Amino acid sequence: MRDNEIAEEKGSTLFVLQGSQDDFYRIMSLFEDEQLSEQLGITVLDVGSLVESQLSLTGKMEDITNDPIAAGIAFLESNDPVAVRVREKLKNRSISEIAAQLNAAYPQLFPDVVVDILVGSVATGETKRDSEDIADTIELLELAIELAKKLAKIWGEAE
Amino acid sequence: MSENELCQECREAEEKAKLDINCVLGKLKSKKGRELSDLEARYLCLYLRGCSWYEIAFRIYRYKIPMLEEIQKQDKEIQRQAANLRSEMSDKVNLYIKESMGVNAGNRIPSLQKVVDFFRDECKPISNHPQPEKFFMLVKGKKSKSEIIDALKRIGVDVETIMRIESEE
Repeated sequence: MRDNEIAEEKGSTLFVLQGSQDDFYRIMSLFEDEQLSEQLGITVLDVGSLVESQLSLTGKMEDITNDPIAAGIAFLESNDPVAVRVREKLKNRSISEIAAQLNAAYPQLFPDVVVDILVGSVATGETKRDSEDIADTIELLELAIELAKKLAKIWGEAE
Repeated sequence: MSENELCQECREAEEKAKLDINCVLGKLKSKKGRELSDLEARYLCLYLRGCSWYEIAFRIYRYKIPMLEEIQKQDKEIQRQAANLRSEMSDKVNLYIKESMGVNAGNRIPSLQKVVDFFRDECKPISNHPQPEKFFMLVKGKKSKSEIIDALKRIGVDVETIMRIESEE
């Protein structure tokens, strides 16, 4: 394994590819012989076969690539930790409504914009003490920043 | 070993590599002198299925199939376990494969394609119908779909990109 290489890594990209079995074996052989990176001119860290269960989200994403709101809904319904936290904030509000609002604001998904959308969804009318409000605001800002990054990646990739 | 006794990994290998796994296990048993252990059989099937060392170690030591994000994360502990497993299996399953193929023990194991082709010749293949293969490629840095597709085309490999995931950092 390439511990040193991974440690030096400033980001990586994982591609799910589909081709013939011969193409797969060819890529695997070149990787095993440590020739793949040189031939591609790209440092390849790992290659391996996948089964359908690893692609369940992939299939869904593939079908909705051309529908950004559907892609946003799929993300918000996923098990991604950010999506889970957003759903906790949304409580009973419609995910599709939130996805539509976020998409309407995209690409200007500034933290305050995202917070406004999320706050609108969490307003309960309950009175809280100031310290609780501040803590909630900080938590919402952090969540908004993470959510904006995730959505920018999803919607940026679909363009 | 009857077909019903095949583990999940062996069933996947039969499906993906189109190999009669019972036959392959029998060939290797004759080299080892006794049945392959459960660990050896699981490793063999994941290897024949085309899993990377990282995926194999993840499935064996974490008892689950890694999702794409988990493959991309390249956990250091799994990498260490994969390196240990690779070392262990070079004296076990990989050695029995080399002996079966008439390859000197001191030489590297032949490519996966050669190993699969050898066992397809030795054992009746399950089916010859070619199926599209889905696989992952993890590359250093942030690369676009077109960069990967163009690079692969330059070496004569024409594949379709289904998904692209960038790491967080």
